[in-house]
Amino acid sequence: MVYSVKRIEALAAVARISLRPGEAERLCRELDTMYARAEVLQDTAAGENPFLETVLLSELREDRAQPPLPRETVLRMAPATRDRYLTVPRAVEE
Amino acid sequence: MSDLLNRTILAHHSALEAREYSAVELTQVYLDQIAMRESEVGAFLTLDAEGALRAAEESDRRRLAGKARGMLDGIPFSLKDNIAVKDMRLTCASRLLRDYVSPYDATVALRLKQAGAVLLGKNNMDEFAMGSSTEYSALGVTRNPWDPSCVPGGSSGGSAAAVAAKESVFSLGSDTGGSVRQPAAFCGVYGLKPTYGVLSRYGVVAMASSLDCVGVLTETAQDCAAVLECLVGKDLCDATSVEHPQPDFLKAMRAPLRALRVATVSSISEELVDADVWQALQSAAEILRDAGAVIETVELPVPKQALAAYSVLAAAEASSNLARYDGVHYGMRSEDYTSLAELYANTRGKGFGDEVKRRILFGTDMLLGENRARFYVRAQHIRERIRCEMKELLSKYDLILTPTSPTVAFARGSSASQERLACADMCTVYASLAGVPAVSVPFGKNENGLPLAVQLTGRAFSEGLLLRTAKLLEEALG
Amino acid sequence: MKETQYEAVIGLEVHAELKTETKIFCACPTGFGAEPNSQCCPVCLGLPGALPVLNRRAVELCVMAGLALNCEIQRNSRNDRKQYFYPDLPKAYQISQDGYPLCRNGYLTLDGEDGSHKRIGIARIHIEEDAGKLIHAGKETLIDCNRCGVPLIEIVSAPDLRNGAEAVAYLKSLRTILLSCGISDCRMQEGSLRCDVNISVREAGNRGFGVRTEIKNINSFAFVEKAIRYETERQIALLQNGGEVCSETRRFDEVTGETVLMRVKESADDYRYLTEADLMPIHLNEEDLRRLCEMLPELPAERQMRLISQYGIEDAGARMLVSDPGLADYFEAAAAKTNYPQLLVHLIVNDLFRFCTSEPFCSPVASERIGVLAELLGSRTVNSATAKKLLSRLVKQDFSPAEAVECEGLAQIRDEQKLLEMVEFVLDEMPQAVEDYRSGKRAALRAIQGRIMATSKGLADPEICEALLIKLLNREDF
Repeated sequence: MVYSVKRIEALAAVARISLRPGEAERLCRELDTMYARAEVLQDTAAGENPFLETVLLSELREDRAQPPLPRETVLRMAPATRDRYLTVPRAVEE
Repeated sequence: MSDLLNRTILAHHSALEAREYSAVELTQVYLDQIAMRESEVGAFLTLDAEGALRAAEESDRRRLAGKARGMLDGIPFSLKDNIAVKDMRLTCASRLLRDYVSPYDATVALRLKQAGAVLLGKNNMDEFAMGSSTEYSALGVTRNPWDPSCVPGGSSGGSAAAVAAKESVFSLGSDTGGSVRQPAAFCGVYGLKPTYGVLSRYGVVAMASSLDCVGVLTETAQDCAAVLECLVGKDLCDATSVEHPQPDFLKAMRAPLRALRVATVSSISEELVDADVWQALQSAAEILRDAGAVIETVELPVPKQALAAYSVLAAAEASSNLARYDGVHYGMRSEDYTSLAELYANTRGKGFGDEVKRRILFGTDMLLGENRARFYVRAQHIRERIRCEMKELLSKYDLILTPTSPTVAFARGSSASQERLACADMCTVYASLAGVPAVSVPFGKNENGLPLAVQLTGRAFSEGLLLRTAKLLEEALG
Repeated sequence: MKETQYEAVIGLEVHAELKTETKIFCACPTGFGAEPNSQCCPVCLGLPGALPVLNRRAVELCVMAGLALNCEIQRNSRNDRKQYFYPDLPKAYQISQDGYPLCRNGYLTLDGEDGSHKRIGIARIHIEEDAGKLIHAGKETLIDCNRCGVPLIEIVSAPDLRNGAEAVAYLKSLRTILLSCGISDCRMQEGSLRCDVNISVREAGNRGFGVRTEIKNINSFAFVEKAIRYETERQIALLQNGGEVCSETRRFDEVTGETVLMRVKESADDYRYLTEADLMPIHLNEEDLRRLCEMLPELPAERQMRLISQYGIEDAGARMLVSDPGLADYFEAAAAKTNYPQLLVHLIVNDLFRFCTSEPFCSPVASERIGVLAELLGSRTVNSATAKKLLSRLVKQDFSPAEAVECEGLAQIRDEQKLLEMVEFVLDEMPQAVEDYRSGKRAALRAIQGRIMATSKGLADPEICEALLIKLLNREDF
């Protein structure tokens, strides 16, 4: 048993997902199953080579501007706006 | 039922050119079919009959002016609802995006529009492409057209059902670990996952970025080739997209087939697979042998860790790709909040379905603290190893022949055993991990009328060979 | 009880906006001051299905910064996602570089005025995207996404700085280098240069590190110095009173001059880094590096040496000139007009600077004009009082100083005979001053000089006058 209700709740907080009453218990069991299957990864060593495929500098995008989306489109998609801004409740400074 | 529902893309193309019927008539036939079957099949989340008829009219006008655009001009199709179409809803079958309208086209959608194809609408799917039965859709139910008590498979269940129910000539889905191939198998249609990077992912809602591929669902192998040919080509909007070195797939379909070296997989054994599926596999092997193929049994690389690597990578990447659905910039925002923290938590907590939540939480944990090195980074290493070993394996063999799924379509609401689920993954995830193409080939029906299928996996960029071989099997079945 | 001596250990994280036309992962324009939310696209808004595409110029500018700062440029580097939730981050992750940054292990040399040199290590430089702008207004926060995706480089120093003055010297030097190479505008007030301070204290002589705090949101170099001074004292006081320093993020309050707690750093700062699978890793080859090296202009340190050797000016002046590339350019353009470059330096620093209020350096006087002025002064055609007056006039209106001298009769009077007459005349008028001088009050000389200058309408050559004066005053027979 790797997952406890407390750990699930902590995970849910990191992922910004609210849980219904009782949901954490169910998730404990479900994540335990997933974790158990993933544990087998510990058995084999494998070397790292993150650069098997790369792109050259010359293949990257040229620095040339394209027209952006119209502001009305941006604001129209937003759940809440004020004047020309999107709004959310006051954010605590990060 | 109109005979027009039984024709291939090539046949439609010839008929339209010969003015046997018009694109509008053809589209209307499909709209009528949808009207007739949708209440049972439920393949569509969004239907745009007006838009489709308008596009069909334009197609007819072009053809009259001698300016028809090619094979797909006037052909009705549908898209899985995680592929963006400008000014159309893009829901991913989730409450979070139920009313979200995309302001831009996915590249594959745009290329189809530019080819003159007629978009009928968007197909149902498992929410955010997580699932293998389409039962996790939050916005609709899709039933298997062959047996409405069964699932169509997933996550591209709506796309497969639409093609199988003749509600569209072809559809595009997305395949991360089998999500085009398995529903294709369950619905008795072709489902191709191409080489990673061959079809642009721009505008395709990401689940696991390093694994996601756009897939093609059609009734015939040749149709698949026709659609693929229209869509390939490097896309500047997708940095992982690549040029296809041999894009003449229709030509490849006509080429003679030389003697193939075929591999079957020892760990996908008779005990793990339904008897009728196993039988189909043996018959397919027989057909290939008759055509001169040499068939040997192999073991897939790193069998014990492959599934684990897949599930960790897919979950970790998905948890990251789905973090943007936070109710701030677009999509649904919960009404139940007094602070920013509550806005986030309640939007996501109430907006995501259970399967999505499960995978996000697991994926989040795989990236936290020590887990990151122990699981995520390890999974990446193992994946690289699989990629290399599969490349080597596929240099010795032209094809790997396996079932697409160890079972036929299962009953809605049923849950499979762990062994079955693992075997199912075993069949499909290797092609995803290795980034190589694989196609599910319909192979008759079982005694209950449910479709059977086999899967062909090939080396990178060998879609031509895969489809040519599929055609061989198709013709042998009659 | 002996009081423990403490030293501060300081590292700086500097973010600089890159001078590119477009954002780092999309083709939106980067211009400053546009209407809110009018410079956004699916990519920088993080819309479903959007994908990043890396801007070549951003990579080039980062590499150039690395070359200018003596870094080891990494042939292979990669982008990663840094994940956290905040309303200015549409995707809920920032695309940055974690394990494989573009540049590593560089340094910047601080030249002390006493001739000392101190190397400040630069641990790494990497590319990343900027977040949007937030305006906190009452109970709401307003979001402007224009800045989302603007290209940044992050320059992380080694903890080699020991006090606020060094930190400011480092920042000024860094800014000069980035400016001269055209990498960034480096305007702290506009936000194109930002600095976070990491600071801890330890007992002098100790080699280990104390607990460090992070100070963010400091808006000017002067405040950096103040913040460091305050925080150093705060931490020392804590330790001396038997307390402990907590790992915290603090901000600098400009009004009180204190650092204030923002939040306690917990493990919640786990950014769950994962590979950015939507982008390919970057490979730089020899040709790229050679080309970028050639694109580097003369670096400030090199230019400083050259100015000294080419123009024979003093170290202090040269150092000051290269602190702003525009200023150095101005000097060199002016120096072409004169044989007296050191005088030119004085004119610029002592007289011109007070008229140059904007940053970066911008002169209201054309370079040729001040060059000619230096020549007129150096050749003693005019005296320094006249030169100052001419300069003040040039600030308001452009004209030829040489012509003005000619037409307005501004040339110095250097004729010894004439001057002798003037001196004798004044001495006759000021017997008390002569008396004072003879009785030891050297200050009386000033008064006499002053009268001579007034009488000559400021045109007498002050040196010749002074020599004549002293000669006369010291003659016994006067």
